[in-house]
Amino acid sequence: MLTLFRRTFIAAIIGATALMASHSADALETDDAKAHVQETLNDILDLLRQPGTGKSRAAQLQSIMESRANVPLLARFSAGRAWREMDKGQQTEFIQAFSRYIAVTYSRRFDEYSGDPKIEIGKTTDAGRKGILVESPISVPNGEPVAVEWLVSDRGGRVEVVDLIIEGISMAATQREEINAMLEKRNGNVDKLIAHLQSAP
Amino acid sequence: MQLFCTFFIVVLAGCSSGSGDGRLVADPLEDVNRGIHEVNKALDRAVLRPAADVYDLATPTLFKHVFGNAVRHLTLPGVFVNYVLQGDAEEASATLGRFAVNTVYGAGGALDPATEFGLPAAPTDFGLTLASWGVEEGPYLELPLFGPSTARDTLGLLVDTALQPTTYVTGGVEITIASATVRALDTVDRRNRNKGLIDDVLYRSEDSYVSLRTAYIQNRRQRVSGGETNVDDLPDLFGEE
Repeated sequence: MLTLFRRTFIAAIIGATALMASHSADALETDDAKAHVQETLNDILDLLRQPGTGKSRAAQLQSIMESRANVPLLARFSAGRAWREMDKGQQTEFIQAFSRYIAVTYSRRFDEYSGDPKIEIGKTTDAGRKGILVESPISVPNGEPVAVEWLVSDRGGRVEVVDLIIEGISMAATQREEINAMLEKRNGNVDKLIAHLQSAP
Repeated sequence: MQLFCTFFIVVLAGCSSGSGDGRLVADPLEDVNRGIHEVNKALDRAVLRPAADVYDLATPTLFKHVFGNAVRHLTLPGVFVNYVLQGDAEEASATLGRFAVNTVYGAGGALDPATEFGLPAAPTDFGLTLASWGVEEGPYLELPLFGPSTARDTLGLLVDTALQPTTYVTGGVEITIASATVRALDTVDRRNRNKGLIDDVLYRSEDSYVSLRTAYIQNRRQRVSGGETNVDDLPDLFGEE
Protein backbone atom coordinates (compact mmCIF):
# COMPACT_ATOMS: atom_id res chain seq x y z
CA MET A 1 0.00 0.00 0.00
CA LEU A 2 2.70 2.34 1.04
CA THR A 3 4.78 1.46 -2.00
CA LEU A 4 1.83 2.09 -4.24
CA PHE A 5 1.32 5.45 -2.63
CA ARG A 6 4.98 6.30 -2.91
CA ARG A 7 5.09 5.22 -6.51
CA THR A 8 2.06 7.31 -7.42
CA PHE A 9 3.49 10.25 -5.55
CA ILE A 10 6.82 10.05 -7.33
CA ALA A 11 5.10 9.59 -10.68
CA ALA A 12 2.95 12.64 -9.99
CA ILE A 13 5.99 14.74 -9.16
CA ILE A 14 7.83 13.60 -12.25
CA GLY A 15 4.73 14.27 -14.34
CA ALA A 16 4.25 17.73 -12.90
CA THR A 17 7.90 18.62 -13.40
CA ALA A 18 7.77 17.44 -16.99
CA LEU A 19 4.61 19.48 -17.56
CA MET A 20 6.17 22.59 -16.09
CA ALA A 21 9.32 22.13 -18.11
CA SER A 22 7.40 21.62 -21.33
CA HIS A 23 5.24 24.62 -20.55
CA SER A 24 8.16 26.96 -20.12
CA ALA A 25 9.77 25.57 -23.25
CA ASP A 26 6.66 25.88 -25.42
CA ALA A 27 4.84 29.03 -24.41
CA LEU A 28 6.08 32.24 -25.93
CA GLU A 29 6.45 34.85 -23.21
CA THR A 30 5.05 38.31 -23.78
CA ASP A 31 8.35 39.87 -22.74
CA ASP A 32 10.25 37.82 -25.31
CA ALA A 33 7.82 38.86 -28.03
CA LYS A 34 8.16 42.52 -27.02
CA ALA A 35 11.93 42.28 -26.90
CA HIS A 36 12.00 40.74 -30.34
CA VAL A 37 9.86 43.53 -31.78
CA GLN A 38 12.07 46.12 -30.09
CA GLU A 39 15.18 44.59 -31.66
CA THR A 40 13.50 44.49 -35.06
CA LEU A 41 12.47 48.13 -34.70
CA ASN A 42 16.02 49.10 -33.73
CA ASP A 43 17.34 47.41 -36.87
CA ILE A 44 14.80 49.23 -39.04
CA LEU A 45 15.34 52.61 -37.40
CA ASP A 46 19.10 52.25 -37.87
CA LEU A 47 18.44 51.56 -41.53
CA LEU A 48 16.13 54.58 -41.83
CA ARG A 49 18.74 56.88 -40.31
CA GLN A 50 21.37 55.84 -42.80
CA PRO A 51 21.57 57.85 -45.94
CA GLY A 52 21.06 55.53 -48.85
CA THR A 53 19.29 54.88 -52.06
CA GLY A 54 16.24 52.65 -52.41
CA LYS A 55 18.29 49.77 -53.84
CA SER A 56 20.90 49.51 -51.13
CA ARG A 57 18.22 49.94 -48.50
CA ALA A 58 16.19 47.13 -50.00
CA ALA A 59 19.12 44.73 -49.72
CA GLN A 60 19.65 45.68 -46.08
CA LEU A 61 15.96 45.42 -45.33
CA GLN A 62 15.95 41.96 -46.86
CA SER A 63 18.65 40.79 -44.47
CA ILE A 64 16.79 42.31 -41.50
CA MET A 65 13.60 40.54 -42.56
CA GLU A 66 15.39 37.25 -43.04
CA SER A 67 16.97 37.41 -39.59
CA ARG A 68 13.90 38.68 -37.70
CA ALA A 69 10.98 37.15 -39.56
CA ASN A 70 10.06 33.76 -40.92
CA VAL A 71 10.32 34.66 -44.59
CA PRO A 72 10.10 31.08 -45.94
CA LEU A 73 6.85 30.60 -44.03
CA LEU A 74 5.49 33.90 -45.33
CA ALA A 75 6.49 32.90 -48.87
CA ARG A 76 4.81 29.55 -48.56
CA PHE A 77 1.63 31.10 -47.18
CA SER A 78 1.60 33.74 -49.92
CA ALA A 79 1.96 31.12 -52.64
CA GLY A 80 -1.25 29.51 -51.39
CA ARG A 81 -2.34 26.49 -53.38
CA ALA A 82 0.48 26.98 -55.88
CA TRP A 83 3.00 25.90 -53.23
CA ARG A 84 2.06 22.25 -53.60
CA GLU A 85 2.37 22.43 -57.36
CA MET A 86 5.99 23.58 -57.11
CA ASP A 87 8.83 21.11 -57.00
CA LYS A 88 11.58 21.51 -54.39
CA GLY A 89 13.79 23.59 -56.66
CA GLN A 90 10.96 25.94 -57.55
CA GLN A 91 10.05 26.33 -53.88
CA THR A 92 13.61 27.38 -53.03
CA GLU A 93 13.73 29.78 -55.95
CA PHE A 94 10.32 31.16 -55.05
CA ILE A 95 11.35 31.85 -51.45
CA GLN A 96 14.44 33.76 -52.62
CA ALA A 97 12.53 35.76 -55.24
CA PHE A 98 9.71 36.50 -52.80
CA SER A 99 12.13 37.65 -50.11
CA ARG A 100 13.77 40.12 -52.48
CA TYR A 101 10.42 41.28 -53.85
CA ILE A 102 8.85 42.15 -50.48
CA ALA A 103 12.05 43.92 -49.36
CA VAL A 104 11.95 46.09 -52.48
CA THR A 105 8.23 46.78 -52.06
CA TYR A 106 8.47 47.74 -48.40
CA SER A 107 11.66 49.75 -48.64
CA ARG A 108 9.92 52.00 -51.20
CA ARG A 109 7.34 52.87 -48.55
CA PHE A 110 10.08 53.88 -46.12
CA ASP A 111 10.50 57.22 -47.81
CA GLU A 112 7.12 58.20 -46.38
CA TYR A 113 8.33 57.65 -42.84
CA SER A 114 11.42 59.76 -43.13
CA GLY A 115 11.38 62.78 -40.84
CA ASP A 116 12.12 61.36 -37.43
CA PRO A 117 9.32 58.94 -36.65
CA LYS A 118 8.63 58.09 -33.02
CA ILE A 119 7.91 54.46 -32.31
CA GLU A 120 6.98 52.95 -28.98
CA ILE A 121 6.02 49.47 -28.00
CA GLY A 122 2.39 49.47 -26.93
CA LYS A 123 0.03 46.85 -25.64
CA THR A 124 0.13 43.17 -26.47
CA THR A 125 -2.69 40.76 -27.28
CA ASP A 126 -2.55 37.01 -26.91
CA ALA A 127 -3.46 35.58 -30.30
CA GLY A 128 -3.51 32.00 -29.04
CA ARG A 129 -1.87 29.52 -31.40
CA LYS A 130 -1.07 32.31 -33.83
CA GLY A 131 1.28 33.92 -31.32
CA ILE A 132 1.39 37.30 -29.59
CA LEU A 133 0.34 40.54 -31.23
CA VAL A 134 2.57 43.48 -30.25
CA GLU A 135 1.49 47.05 -30.99
CA SER A 136 4.06 49.66 -31.97
CA PRO A 137 2.29 52.79 -33.23
CA ILE A 138 4.40 55.19 -35.30
CA SER A 139 3.86 58.90 -34.78
CA VAL A 140 5.22 61.42 -37.21
CA PRO A 141 5.14 65.18 -36.60
CA ASN A 142 2.03 66.84 -38.09
CA GLY A 143 0.34 63.62 -38.97
CA GLU A 144 -2.05 60.99 -37.74
CA PRO A 145 -0.28 58.15 -35.93
CA VAL A 146 0.02 54.95 -37.93
CA ALA A 147 -1.18 51.75 -36.26
CA VAL A 148 1.47 49.05 -36.59
CA GLU A 149 1.24 45.58 -35.07
CA TRP A 150 3.61 42.62 -35.17
CA LEU A 151 2.52 39.04 -34.88
CA VAL A 152 5.32 37.17 -33.12
CA SER A 153 5.43 33.40 -32.83
CA ASP A 154 7.88 30.72 -31.74
CA ARG A 155 6.18 27.84 -33.51
CA GLY A 156 8.90 27.84 -36.13
CA GLY A 157 11.49 26.90 -33.50
CA ARG A 158 12.69 30.41 -32.67
CA VAL A 159 11.07 33.72 -31.72
CA GLU A 160 10.27 35.49 -34.98
CA VAL A 161 7.88 37.84 -36.71
CA VAL A 162 5.27 35.99 -38.78
CA ASP A 163 3.07 38.91 -39.83
CA LEU A 164 3.10 42.70 -39.87
CA ILE A 165 -0.23 44.53 -39.63
CA ILE A 166 -0.30 48.17 -40.70
CA GLU A 167 -3.56 50.05 -40.15
CA GLY A 168 -5.36 46.74 -39.87
CA ILE A 169 -3.88 45.44 -43.10
CA SER A 170 -1.98 42.18 -42.76
CA MET A 171 1.15 41.81 -44.83
CA ALA A 172 0.68 38.04 -45.08
CA ALA A 173 -2.94 38.29 -46.25
CA THR A 174 -2.04 41.07 -48.69
CA GLN A 175 0.92 39.22 -50.19
CA ARG A 176 -1.17 36.10 -50.58
CA GLU A 177 -3.80 38.03 -52.54
CA GLU A 178 -1.20 39.78 -54.67
CA ILE A 179 0.87 36.69 -55.45
CA ASN A 180 -2.32 34.86 -56.31
CA ALA A 181 -3.34 37.59 -58.75
CA MET A 182 0.15 37.63 -60.32
CA LEU A 183 0.00 33.90 -60.83
CA GLU A 184 -3.49 34.06 -62.34
CA LYS A 185 -2.31 36.73 -64.76
CA ARG A 186 0.41 34.30 -65.89
CA ASN A 187 -2.06 31.44 -66.29
CA GLY A 188 -0.68 29.65 -63.27
CA ASN A 189 2.86 29.43 -64.67
CA VAL A 190 5.10 29.27 -61.59
CA ASP A 191 8.35 29.86 -63.50
CA LYS A 192 6.98 33.04 -65.04
CA LEU A 193 5.85 34.17 -61.59
CA ILE A 194 9.32 33.57 -60.13
CA ALA A 195 10.97 35.36 -63.05
CA HIS A 196 8.64 38.30 -62.51
CA LEU A 197 9.38 38.49 -58.77
CA GLN A 198 13.11 38.37 -59.52
CA SER A 199 12.94 41.24 -61.97
CA ALA A 200 10.31 43.49 -60.37
CA PRO A 201 11.81 46.92 -59.78
CA MET B 1 -31.08 55.20 -60.20
CA GLN B 2 -32.11 54.23 -56.71
CA LEU B 3 -34.42 51.53 -58.01
CA PHE B 4 -31.58 50.22 -60.11
CA CYS B 5 -29.30 50.07 -57.10
CA THR B 6 -31.87 48.22 -55.03
CA PHE B 7 -32.26 45.70 -57.82
CA PHE B 8 -28.51 45.37 -58.03
CA ILE B 9 -28.21 44.57 -54.34
CA VAL B 10 -31.03 42.05 -54.37
CA VAL B 11 -29.32 40.25 -57.24
CA LEU B 12 -25.97 40.36 -55.46
CA ALA B 13 -27.40 39.19 -52.19
CA GLY B 14 -28.29 36.03 -54.07
CA CYS B 15 -24.68 35.42 -54.99
CA SER B 16 -22.73 33.18 -52.69
CA SER B 17 -20.55 35.15 -50.33
CA GLY B 18 -18.46 32.34 -48.92
CA SER B 19 -14.78 32.92 -49.53
CA GLY B 20 -13.66 29.36 -49.96
CA ASP B 21 -10.25 28.29 -51.34
CA GLY B 22 -8.47 30.62 -48.91
CA ARG B 23 -9.37 33.82 -50.73
CA LEU B 24 -9.88 36.95 -48.67
CA VAL B 25 -13.26 37.83 -50.18
CA ALA B 26 -15.65 36.42 -52.76
CA ASP B 27 -15.44 38.35 -56.02
CA PRO B 28 -17.83 36.74 -58.51
CA LEU B 29 -18.09 39.96 -60.53
CA GLU B 30 -14.33 40.46 -60.85
CA ASP B 31 -14.46 41.11 -64.60
CA VAL B 32 -17.10 43.83 -64.27
CA ASN B 33 -15.36 45.24 -61.20
CA ARG B 34 -12.04 45.44 -63.03
CA GLY B 35 -13.71 47.36 -65.86
CA ILE B 36 -15.14 49.87 -63.38
CA HIS B 37 -11.78 50.04 -61.63
CA GLU B 38 -10.04 51.11 -64.83
CA VAL B 39 -12.62 53.87 -65.34
CA ASN B 40 -12.28 55.04 -61.73
CA LYS B 41 -8.50 55.03 -62.00
CA ALA B 42 -8.58 56.99 -65.26
CA LEU B 43 -10.90 59.53 -63.62
CA ASP B 44 -8.57 59.84 -60.67
CA ARG B 45 -5.56 60.34 -62.90
CA ALA B 46 -7.28 62.87 -65.16
CA VAL B 47 -9.45 64.80 -62.71
CA LEU B 48 -9.30 64.02 -59.03
CA ARG B 49 -5.57 63.75 -58.45
CA PRO B 50 -4.70 66.96 -60.35
CA ALA B 51 -7.60 68.72 -58.61
CA ALA B 52 -6.31 67.58 -55.22
CA ASP B 53 -2.80 68.84 -56.05
CA VAL B 54 -4.14 72.25 -57.07
CA TYR B 55 -6.36 72.34 -53.98
CA ASP B 56 -3.39 71.55 -51.78
CA LEU B 57 -1.29 74.34 -53.27
CA ALA B 58 -4.00 76.95 -53.69
CA THR B 59 -5.89 76.76 -50.43
CA PRO B 60 -4.54 77.98 -47.11
CA THR B 61 -4.12 75.38 -44.39
CA LEU B 62 -6.69 77.20 -42.29
CA PHE B 63 -9.32 76.81 -44.98
CA LYS B 64 -8.60 73.09 -45.34
CA HIS B 65 -8.85 72.70 -41.60
CA VAL B 66 -12.13 74.57 -41.24
CA PHE B 67 -13.67 72.97 -44.31
CA GLY B 68 -12.78 69.47 -43.11
CA ASN B 69 -14.28 70.22 -39.69
CA ALA B 70 -17.48 71.64 -41.14
CA VAL B 71 -18.10 68.75 -43.50
CA ARG B 72 -17.43 66.17 -40.80
CA HIS B 73 -19.69 68.11 -38.44
CA LEU B 74 -22.59 67.67 -40.86
CA THR B 75 -22.14 63.90 -40.85
CA LEU B 76 -22.64 63.72 -37.06
CA PRO B 77 -26.47 63.39 -37.09
CA GLY B 78 -26.10 60.36 -39.36
CA VAL B 79 -23.31 58.96 -37.16
CA PHE B 80 -25.57 59.42 -34.12
CA VAL B 81 -28.45 57.56 -35.77
CA ASN B 82 -26.10 54.71 -36.71
CA TYR B 83 -24.76 54.34 -33.17
CA VAL B 84 -28.34 54.26 -31.87
CA LEU B 85 -29.20 51.57 -34.42
CA GLN B 86 -26.10 49.64 -33.34
CA GLY B 87 -27.34 49.84 -29.75
CA ASP B 88 -24.15 51.64 -28.73
CA ALA B 89 -25.47 54.13 -26.18
CA GLU B 90 -21.99 55.25 -25.13
CA GLU B 91 -20.81 56.24 -28.62
CA ALA B 92 -24.24 57.66 -29.47
CA SER B 93 -24.16 60.05 -26.52
CA ALA B 94 -20.51 60.93 -27.19
CA THR B 95 -21.48 61.84 -30.75
CA LEU B 96 -24.36 63.94 -29.48
CA GLY B 97 -22.01 65.68 -27.04
CA ARG B 98 -19.48 66.30 -29.79
CA PHE B 99 -22.18 67.79 -31.99
CA ALA B 100 -23.40 70.07 -29.19
CA VAL B 101 -19.91 71.22 -28.13
CA ASN B 102 -18.74 72.00 -31.65
CA THR B 103 -22.00 73.71 -32.60
CA VAL B 104 -21.91 75.98 -29.56
CA TYR B 105 -18.19 76.47 -28.87
CA GLY B 106 -16.83 75.57 -32.30
CA ALA B 107 -18.51 78.31 -34.33
CA GLY B 108 -21.23 76.02 -35.63
CA GLY B 109 -18.83 73.19 -36.45
CA ALA B 110 -16.02 75.13 -38.13
CA LEU B 111 -13.71 74.41 -35.21
CA ASP B 112 -13.24 71.27 -33.20
CA PRO B 113 -12.89 72.00 -29.46
CA ALA B 114 -14.74 68.72 -28.73
CA THR B 115 -11.62 66.67 -29.45
CA GLU B 116 -9.80 68.56 -26.71
CA PHE B 117 -12.75 67.93 -24.39
CA GLY B 118 -12.22 64.22 -24.85
CA LEU B 119 -14.90 63.72 -27.49
CA PRO B 120 -12.88 62.92 -30.61
CA ALA B 121 -14.50 61.99 -33.90
CA ALA B 122 -15.49 58.32 -34.02
CA PRO B 123 -17.08 57.88 -37.41
CA THR B 124 -19.36 54.98 -38.20
CA ASP B 125 -21.76 54.22 -41.03
CA PHE B 126 -24.73 52.11 -41.97
CA GLY B 127 -22.51 49.41 -43.46
CA LEU B 128 -21.10 48.89 -39.94
CA THR B 129 -24.63 49.04 -38.51
CA LEU B 130 -25.67 46.24 -40.87
CA ALA B 131 -22.60 44.27 -39.78
CA SER B 132 -23.57 44.73 -36.12
CA TRP B 133 -26.97 43.26 -36.97
CA GLY B 134 -25.27 40.19 -38.38
CA VAL B 135 -25.79 40.99 -42.07
CA GLU B 136 -23.13 39.23 -44.13
CA GLU B 137 -20.48 41.15 -45.99
CA GLY B 138 -21.47 39.76 -49.36
CA PRO B 139 -19.32 39.83 -52.48
CA TYR B 140 -16.79 42.54 -53.27
CA LEU B 141 -17.89 45.37 -55.56
CA GLU B 142 -16.16 48.32 -57.08
CA LEU B 143 -18.68 51.09 -57.60
CA PRO B 144 -18.39 53.75 -60.29
CA LEU B 145 -17.07 56.99 -58.69
CA PHE B 146 -17.48 55.66 -55.12
CA GLY B 147 -14.78 53.02 -55.42
CA PRO B 148 -14.33 49.84 -53.36
CA SER B 149 -17.32 48.37 -51.55
CA THR B 150 -19.17 45.18 -50.76
CA ALA B 151 -22.85 44.30 -51.18
CA ARG B 152 -23.38 45.22 -47.52
CA ASP B 153 -21.45 48.48 -47.74
CA THR B 154 -23.27 49.48 -50.93
CA LEU B 155 -26.59 49.21 -49.15
CA GLY B 156 -25.00 51.13 -46.27
CA LEU B 157 -23.90 53.88 -48.63
CA LEU B 158 -27.47 54.35 -49.91
CA VAL B 159 -28.89 54.55 -46.39
CA ASP B 160 -26.13 56.94 -45.24
CA THR B 161 -26.90 59.23 -48.17
CA ALA B 162 -30.51 59.24 -47.00
CA LEU B 163 -29.30 60.11 -43.47
CA GLN B 164 -27.26 63.11 -44.67
CA PRO B 165 -28.99 66.41 -43.91
CA THR B 166 -27.50 67.94 -47.08
CA THR B 167 -29.44 65.41 -49.13
CA TYR B 168 -32.62 67.24 -48.21
CA VAL B 169 -31.44 70.74 -48.87
CA THR B 170 -33.53 71.85 -51.79
CA GLY B 171 -34.46 75.23 -53.12
CA GLY B 172 -33.20 77.48 -55.84
CA VAL B 173 -30.44 76.79 -58.33
CA GLU B 174 -27.93 78.56 -56.09
CA ILE B 175 -28.50 76.14 -53.23
CA THR B 176 -28.22 73.12 -55.52
CA ILE B 177 -24.97 74.46 -56.94
CA ALA B 178 -23.65 75.27 -53.47
CA SER B 179 -24.46 71.81 -52.15
CA ALA B 180 -22.88 70.13 -55.20
CA THR B 181 -19.77 72.29 -54.78
CA VAL B 182 -19.42 71.30 -51.15
CA ARG B 183 -19.70 67.63 -52.07
CA ALA B 184 -17.15 67.94 -54.87
CA LEU B 185 -14.77 69.88 -52.65
CA ASP B 186 -15.14 67.28 -49.92
CA THR B 187 -14.13 64.56 -52.38
CA VAL B 188 -11.08 66.59 -53.43
CA ASP B 189 -10.23 67.33 -49.80
CA ARG B 190 -10.36 63.66 -48.84
CA ARG B 191 -8.27 62.67 -51.88
CA ASN B 192 -5.71 65.23 -50.76
CA ARG B 193 -5.63 64.11 -47.14
CA ASN B 194 -5.04 60.47 -48.12
CA LYS B 195 -2.70 61.24 -50.97
CA GLY B 196 0.17 59.00 -49.94
CA LEU B 197 -1.96 55.95 -49.35
CA ILE B 198 -4.11 56.35 -52.46
CA ASP B 199 -1.16 57.00 -54.77
CA ASP B 200 0.59 54.00 -53.31
CA VAL B 201 -2.34 51.67 -53.90
CA LEU B 202 -3.36 53.01 -57.32
CA TYR B 203 -0.06 53.83 -58.98
CA ARG B 204 2.74 52.06 -57.17
CA SER B 205 1.34 48.58 -56.87
CA GLU B 206 1.64 45.63 -59.15
CA ASP B 207 -2.11 45.13 -59.56
CA SER B 208 -3.99 48.13 -58.26
CA TYR B 209 -7.34 46.36 -58.43
CA VAL B 210 -6.18 43.60 -56.08
CA SER B 211 -4.30 46.02 -53.81
CA LEU B 212 -7.36 48.21 -53.40
CA ARG B 213 -9.63 45.24 -52.79
CA THR B 214 -7.26 43.73 -50.22
CA ALA B 215 -6.75 46.99 -48.35
CA TYR B 216 -10.44 47.89 -48.35
CA ILE B 217 -11.69 44.51 -47.13
CA GLN B 218 -9.17 44.27 -44.30
CA ASN B 219 -9.73 47.84 -43.22
CA ARG B 220 -13.51 47.38 -43.13
CA ARG B 221 -13.25 44.11 -41.22
CA GLN B 222 -11.08 45.85 -38.66
CA ARG B 223 -13.71 48.56 -38.29
CA VAL B 224 -16.44 45.94 -37.91
CA SER B 225 -14.49 44.57 -34.95
CA GLY B 226 -14.43 47.99 -33.30
CA GLY B 227 -11.24 49.43 -34.80
CA GLU B 228 -8.99 46.85 -33.20
CA THR B 229 -7.30 44.04 -35.03
CA ASN B 230 -9.33 40.93 -34.40
CA VAL B 231 -6.91 38.06 -33.88
CA ASP B 232 -9.48 35.66 -35.37
CA ASP B 233 -9.21 37.54 -38.67
CA LEU B 234 -5.44 37.17 -38.81
CA PRO B 235 -4.16 34.44 -41.09
CA ASP B 236 -2.71 31.36 -39.40
CA LEU B 237 0.51 30.86 -41.33
CA PHE B 238 1.33 27.61 -39.59
CA GLY B 239 -2.17 26.27 -40.18
CA GLU B 240 -1.54 26.01 -43.92
CA GLU B 241 -1.42 22.49 -45.19
